[in-house]
Amino acid sequence: MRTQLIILSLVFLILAPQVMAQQQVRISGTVKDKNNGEILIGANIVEQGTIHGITTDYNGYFSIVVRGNSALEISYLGYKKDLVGLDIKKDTIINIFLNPAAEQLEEVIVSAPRTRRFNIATISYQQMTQMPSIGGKPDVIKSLQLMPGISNQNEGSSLMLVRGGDPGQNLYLFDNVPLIYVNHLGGFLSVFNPDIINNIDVYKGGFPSRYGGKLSSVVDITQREGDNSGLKGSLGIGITDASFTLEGPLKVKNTSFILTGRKTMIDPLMALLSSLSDGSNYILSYGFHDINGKFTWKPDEKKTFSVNIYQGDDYLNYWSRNNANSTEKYRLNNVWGNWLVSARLNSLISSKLYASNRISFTRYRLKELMKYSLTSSSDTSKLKIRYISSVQDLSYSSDWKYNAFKNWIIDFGLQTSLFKFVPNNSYISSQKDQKSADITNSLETALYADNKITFLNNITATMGLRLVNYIATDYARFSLEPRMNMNLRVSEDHILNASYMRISQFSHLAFTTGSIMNNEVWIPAGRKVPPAQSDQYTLGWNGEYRNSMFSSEINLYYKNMHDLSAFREGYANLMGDENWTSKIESGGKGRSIGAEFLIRKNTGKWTGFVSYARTRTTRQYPNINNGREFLFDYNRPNSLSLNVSYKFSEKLSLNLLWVYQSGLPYTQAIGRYYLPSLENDYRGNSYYYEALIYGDRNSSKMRDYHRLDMGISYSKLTKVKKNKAIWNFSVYNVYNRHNPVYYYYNTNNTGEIFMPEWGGEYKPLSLYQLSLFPIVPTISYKVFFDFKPDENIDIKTKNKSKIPFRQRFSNWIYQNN
Amino acid sequence: MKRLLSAFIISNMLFISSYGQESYIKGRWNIKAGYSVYKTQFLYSSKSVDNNNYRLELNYGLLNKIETGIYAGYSRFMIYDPWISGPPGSFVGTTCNTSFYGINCNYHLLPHLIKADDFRFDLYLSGKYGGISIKRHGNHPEYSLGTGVAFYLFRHIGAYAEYSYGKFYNNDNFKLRYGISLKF
Repeated sequence: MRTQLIILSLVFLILAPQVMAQQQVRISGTVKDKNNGEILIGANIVEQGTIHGITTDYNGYFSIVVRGNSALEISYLGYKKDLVGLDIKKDTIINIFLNPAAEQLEEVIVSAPRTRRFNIATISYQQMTQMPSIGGKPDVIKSLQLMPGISNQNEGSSLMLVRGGDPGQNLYLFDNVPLIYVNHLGGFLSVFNPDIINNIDVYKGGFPSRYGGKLSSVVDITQREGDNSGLKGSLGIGITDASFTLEGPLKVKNTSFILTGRKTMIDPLMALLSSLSDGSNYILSYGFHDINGKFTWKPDEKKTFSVNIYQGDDYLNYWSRNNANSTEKYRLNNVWGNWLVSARLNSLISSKLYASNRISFTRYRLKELMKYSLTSSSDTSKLKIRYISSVQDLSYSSDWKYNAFKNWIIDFGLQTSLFKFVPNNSYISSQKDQKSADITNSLETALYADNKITFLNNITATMGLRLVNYIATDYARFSLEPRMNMNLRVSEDHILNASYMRISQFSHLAFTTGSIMNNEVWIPAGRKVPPAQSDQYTLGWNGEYRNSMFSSEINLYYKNMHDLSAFREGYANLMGDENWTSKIESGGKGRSIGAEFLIRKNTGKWTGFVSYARTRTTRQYPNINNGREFLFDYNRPNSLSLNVSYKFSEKLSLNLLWVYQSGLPYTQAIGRYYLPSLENDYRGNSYYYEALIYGDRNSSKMRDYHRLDMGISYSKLTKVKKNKAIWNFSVYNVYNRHNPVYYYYNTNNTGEIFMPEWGGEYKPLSLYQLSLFPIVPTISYKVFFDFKPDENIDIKTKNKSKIPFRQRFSNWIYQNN
Repeated sequence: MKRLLSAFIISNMLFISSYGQESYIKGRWNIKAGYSVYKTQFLYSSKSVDNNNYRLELNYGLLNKIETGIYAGYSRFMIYDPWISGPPGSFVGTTCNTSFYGINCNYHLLPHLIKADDFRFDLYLSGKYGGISIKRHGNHPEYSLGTGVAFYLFRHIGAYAEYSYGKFYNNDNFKLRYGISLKF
C-alpha cells in the first residue's frame, strides 16, 4: 500500500505541471549562425522574464514548453542576443538564426558553451587558437589537458589520461563516429585539425547512456558544416606543418562542403639532410598528413544529411646502401593511421521527436615492412618481413530524443558495431610455412534510454540504463550499465550535482611509450582477456558570479576499475608471436580518487582560468609487483594550470600559461651487486657485470614538472584583398626548465653503453634524467580568403598604377596605406 | 659605477628633451629576438670558445622618443669548472645553463626628423642594465650603452642590429647583436 502511494505521488509530481500548463505550447527547432548556417551548440534559449530555459544539444537542437504569447531570448557568446516574440496556440517548429556580434574580429566559429554542466571539460576555439604551443599551431588535445582531471603522459604528448584512466580508455567521437588512433608524431600532435572543429566536449564522468565502450572519457568533437554563403578558405603554415581549408556551397540547392588538410614540411628536408650528411649512406624521412571532408545537404528545414571522410597517416622511411665489397640494401617502411567514412541523417520529425541515424566505417592499421638484400658477384640473398596489426569498426546507430512532457525528456536508441581485430599478422619470406593471421570478430550491440525529469523547477534527475551485448569468436558477455545524474539548483547561480555510472570496455589498448614509431595494439576481450569495467561516483558544485563574469566549479570523484589489461613485464609489443595472449597481463584492478577545482574569468580584457586537481591513482595486477598495489605509472598527485589572456586591442592579444605537475613515479634501484662473467675478456682477464636490485614498482618520484609558455596573437587585414590574417608568436618553456620525461640507469648520460668485456675504465651505473624540450620559440601564419568579388578592391587595384612613383615610395617608407 | 651614473644622466637629459613632442614611438609595442656571440675563455689557457646567445626583448613606447622594456636571454656557456679536475696540464670545461635578464631603455633619434604616423626605419641609442646568471657560477652584473638600427621590410616585421659598449661578464667591452624586430 505504501509503495503504491509513493508511485502515485511520483506520477502526480511528473504530470502535475503538464496538467496545469494546458495553455502552453512546445517550441522546437535549431539555432544557427545567420551568415554561414553553422549550428550553434550550447546556445541558451530562455522564456523572457523567467529563469525557465534550455540549451541546444550537440545537433544544435532544442525543445522547450512556454506560454503561447510569451517571447524567447536566444543568446550565444560572440553573437547578438535575439528576441523572438510568440503568438501561437499549437506546438511549432522554428529555426532561429543569430547574427555574429559586429565587434568580433576573430572569425566566429565557436565559443565556449556557457551551459551549467558537470564532469564536462570544454574549451573554446578562440582559447585554443591563442594558447601557446610547441609547433606554433593550436592542438585540441593539448588544450584540453589543461583542464582539471585531464593530464598528459609525458611532456609534449597528445595522449590523454582522464581521472586515472589509461590512454586507451577514451572514446574519441568525430561527428559521433568513433576514431581509433588519434595521434601524429608519436603523440606530440593530435589528429584533429582545429580548422574543421565546431565544438569539443570531454565527458570525464556521469556519461549519458548514449555513450559507452570506453571507461574513462568521451571526447565528443562536432565538425563544422561548411559555409553556405560563398566559397572561402584559409592557408596556414607553422613549424610542424602546413594546412588548408576550403568551404562553400555546391551547385545543388541547400548543399555545402568543407575540406581541410595538413601535411608536414620536414620529410623532404630530413631526407635531403640525411643523404648529405658526412659519410652518410642512408636516407631517413618522417612525415604525416590528414584530410577531413564533410558534405552537407539540407533538403528542407527539418532534415540534414551529411557525409564525412577522414584519412590520416604517419610514416617513417629508411633506406640504406653499402657498396664496399658487395651491394647491401636495407629498406624500412612504417605506416600507421586510420581512415573513416560515415553518413548521417538528422530529422526533426515533430515538435516532440528528433532522430539521428548514422552508419560508419573506421579502420586503423599499423604496418611495418622491412626488406633486405645482399648482392655479390656470385650470390644474391633477400629477406622480406611484413607485420600488420589492425582493427576495423563497421557501426550503425539510431539515436532519438522524445520530449514526452514539459518536464520529461527521453533519449533512447540503438548502437551496434561489428569489429574485426587482427592484432598480429606477420609474413617472413624465409619461412616456408607462413602462419595465417589470427583474426577475431566481435559484435557489440547496445540499447539505451535516458529519462531526464525536472521536479519542482530546481531538481533535474537523469536516470538511464545501457544494455550491452558482446559476442566474440569464442566468448559472449551481457552487461547492464546503470547511469544516474542529479542536479539541484540551490539558487539562480549555484547548482549541486551527484552522479553515478557503470561502464564496460570490450577492447584493450596495449602500448609502449617513448618511441616515435607507434606500438599501439588493440586487443579484443575474450576468455583470457576479459572486458574491463568501472564504476564512478561524483559530487559537484558549480557557481557563477558578477553576471557570469566569473565561474567556478568543484568536482569530487571516486573511480573503481576491474579486469584491466597491459603488456606483461618485459614485453613491449606482440610482433612475431603467434600466441599473443601470453604477453598480456589481465585481471588488473585500478582505483582513482580525486578533487578538481576550476575558476574562470569569462569576460573583459583579462580572461583566463586556474585549474587544479589533487588525485591518487593505483593499479594492482596478479603478476606485477608481486601482486601488491602500486602507484599508476602516470599518477600525478598535484596538477595546476594557470592561464591569463590579455586583449590589448581587437588585433593584439597576449597569452601566458604556467603549468605545474608533481613528478611521475618511477621504480628506483635500492642496491647493486656484481656477477662474475663465465668467460674472459679479449685480454684474457676475468671481469664482472654490475646488476641493480630494484625496489617496489613506482615507489619513488621524479622531479616536479613546470614550465611557462607565452604567446602573442596578432590579427590584421591583408593589404590588397583585405582578408583576415593571423600571426602567432609563441615561446614554449620560457625559462628553459629541464623537465624529466623519464629516468634511466646507465654509465653515462650520452646514451653510450659500457660493456665490461670491451675493457676500459669501470664506470658504475648511475641514475640519469632525459629531458625533451628546452626553450622553443615558434611562429605561425594563417590567412583567410574569400572568393566573392569585392568592387571596392577592384577600383583600388585599378587606381594603384595611376599613383606617381614618388608618392608610392613615400607611402611605402611612411607605411601609409 | 661612474659609467652607470653617466648612463643615467644622459637618459634623463634625453627624457626631458623628448617630452611633449609627437612621434610614432609612443604607444608602440616592440619585440626583438636577437642573437650574438659570447666568447668565454678558460683559465690557464689561451683557448676561448664561442657561445651562442639568444635574447628576447620587449619594449613599450612610453614617450614620443623613448621606449623602455625588459629583456631575457639564454646561452649554454662552456666555461672552466674548478670543481672538475682533469689530467695535469689540461683544462676542463663544462656546459652551464646561463640566463640573461635586465631592463632596457631606447632613445629614438628619427622622430626628431620624421613627423609621421609610422616609418620603416628606427635609429636609436640604447642603455641596458641587468645581470647574467650562470648555473654553479652565480650572478654577475652587466650594463652597456650602444646604438641600434632597425629596418622594417614588412609593416610589422623587420631586422635590427645593435652595437654596444659596456661591462660584460666575459670582459669583452664591445658586443654586436642582430635579429628580428617586430612592432605593433
